[in-house]
Amino acid sequence: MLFLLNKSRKDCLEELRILGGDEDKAVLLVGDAVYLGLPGQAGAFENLGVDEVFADADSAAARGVALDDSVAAVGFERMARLIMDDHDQVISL
Amino acid sequence: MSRTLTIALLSGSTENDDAAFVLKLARAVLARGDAVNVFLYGNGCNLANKPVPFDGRSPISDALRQHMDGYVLAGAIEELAAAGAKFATCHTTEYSRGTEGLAYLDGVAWGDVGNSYTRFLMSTDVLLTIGR
Repeated sequence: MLFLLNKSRKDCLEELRILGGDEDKAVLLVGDAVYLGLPGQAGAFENLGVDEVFADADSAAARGVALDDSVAAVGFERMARLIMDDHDQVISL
Repeated sequence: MSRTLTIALLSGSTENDDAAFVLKLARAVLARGDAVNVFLYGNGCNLANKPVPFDGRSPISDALRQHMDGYVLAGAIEELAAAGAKFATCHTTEYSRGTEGLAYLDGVAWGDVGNSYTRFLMSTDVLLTIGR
């Protein structure tokens, strides 16, 4: 199950917890949501049982931020694979 | 086997980077050989129309114009449509914004939720809703 987040509001994390339950979970951060992937923030995903966290490299670069080491910066080709191939469910929050 | 991504885009072009992101993702998905539908709903319908030429001197500075040009997406939408992406807008959300009746970009179709969007959904493998 892949969650696509494009907003930095923390409510998304609670929605992710409720919707994700015990399923295997990955997260793709785009736009302002990359702020959730900063050092000091990204640990919340581990607490929610998220296995992998990806972030749009362009969104991070546009905001001049450095992502936490646990977050993989990806381009659009990889994002397309994540969304179209790698997960049987994709949920945009 | 080709799959189909449908994106309901609820943001316009300049209030955030949702629209720019959607078009870049659409380009990447098309490049894989998959199909893309984009339904322009809510403020997303503001992306549907032909730009109106402005005669005269705009007071926009060169620096601001350069920044804003990255969010002028008419050309990108027409390129994607020419490459096979399907775009439909919601005439009801256009009506409430006073834009119903304006000329559409090449490749953007008049539409509605009950018909256009539903037809998109019937052939969709992955649905994303991008907005605020």
